[in-house]
Amino acid sequence: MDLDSLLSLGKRHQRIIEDMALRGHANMKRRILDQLNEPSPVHEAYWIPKTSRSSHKRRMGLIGAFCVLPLLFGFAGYKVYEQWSGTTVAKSNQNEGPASLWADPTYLNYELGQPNTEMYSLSEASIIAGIPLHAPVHISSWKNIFSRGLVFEQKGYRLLKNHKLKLVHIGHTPLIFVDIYENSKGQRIAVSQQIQSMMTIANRQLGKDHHSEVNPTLEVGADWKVLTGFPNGLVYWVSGNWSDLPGKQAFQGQYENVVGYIRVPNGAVKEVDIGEYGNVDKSQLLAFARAYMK
Amino acid sequence: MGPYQTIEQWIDLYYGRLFGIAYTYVRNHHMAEDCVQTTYLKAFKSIGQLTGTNPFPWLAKILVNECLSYKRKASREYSTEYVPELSSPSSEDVYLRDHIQRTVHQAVLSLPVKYRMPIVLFYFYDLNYAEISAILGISIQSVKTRLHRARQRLMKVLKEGEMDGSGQPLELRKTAPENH
Repeated sequence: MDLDSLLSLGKRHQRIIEDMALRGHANMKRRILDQLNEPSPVHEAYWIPKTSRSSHKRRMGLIGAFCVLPLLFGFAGYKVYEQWSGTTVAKSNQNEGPASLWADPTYLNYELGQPNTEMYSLSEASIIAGIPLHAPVHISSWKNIFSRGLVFEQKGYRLLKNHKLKLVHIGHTPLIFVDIYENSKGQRIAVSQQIQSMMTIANRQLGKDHHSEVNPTLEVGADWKVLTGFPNGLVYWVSGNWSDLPGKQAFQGQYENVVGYIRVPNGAVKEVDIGEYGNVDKSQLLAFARAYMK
Repeated sequence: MGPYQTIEQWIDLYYGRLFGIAYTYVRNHHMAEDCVQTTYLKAFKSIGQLTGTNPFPWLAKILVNECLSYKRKASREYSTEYVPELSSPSSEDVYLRDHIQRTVHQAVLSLPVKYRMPIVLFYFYDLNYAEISAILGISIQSVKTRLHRARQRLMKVLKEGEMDGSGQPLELRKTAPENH
């Protein structure tokens, strides 16, 4: 086989890589267009004329000030700061009790620090998970601070163990996509998306009245009610004590989550969990869930 | 059509190709996405500078500059030395099954960037010498020279299984003998 023929094969492979990227095209398009609509200070900085080296330094200094000062002033009421995946985030003193695991920086820090934890972009994560994953970039009043598909290298299942919380969570899916948003008060909302395969709900038809067939107390182990106004899937408001959940007895306090089960085109069921950290108001959490899952 | 609509159209038309170029340059999915995203943002602001009817070479030039800048920044933080994907499963591995295609592609990606990009732009994206010259900021003669040397290097890599000095023979030799 001559080189030109081989290169044509390489070209075909290049097209496959492009096709793979195009699977995340819609989401990327939305991200780009959102940024065009709402240019950030960094975005604006591109267009400051590059006249000299000193102006470049001044520009970088300004960008740094724009980034750092709001953090310092905005979170002055919070005493504990943690390094989180290279980003300094505030941990509120108010954060006692009600919490979402993924929004808890202690929990996520621990998981991200494990040697075999792998992270993927949204488009890659969709391919690995085998289900379409969606993540809106902009939700009013909330800033996205973390958005990655996570794979924990265990044999066929995920084993998430938090040394401080003494909490073990086992999932049977290869990937969980985690989106974390933060507001100006330092409160957080975390969204996790994964294929739902370990429970019977995966085999159930989702429809108008199927919650009557579901026992959400078994599924999510909490007080629950079905939320209306979500066009896709079956969505619950769940609340309860962490200590009532199997395997989570060591975790104190209460929680309130939105859990959605959405049938995806290949027949699988996607589970979307939306939880809060920092005593986010219930109405805020619900408004966020509606924006995220619309 | 306003700049916003133009960019929207360009995302639909060129996102895949731009991602492909970025990926061959930085050899990292996340980096490539970031570079393409920044490219569109920059294009939006300087859209008035576009001359000619075909925006792709212009976008590609912005992209290549962005990739170069991104790699410079990244090299301060961690090694960007290429690790062939043959040994570690990735989303690409799951998606891509054809070993010959992949091996040739990886051989191209294993070339130094000065030889890799002319090969990619010429053979994978069918750009002409003048367009490659404009995108890479080198003369047409340099494009020809680099393409010639790139082909020689590529032949060597494919024949001898040299990929970043790993010394591992390419799967191509096992699965696709030259008389095929």
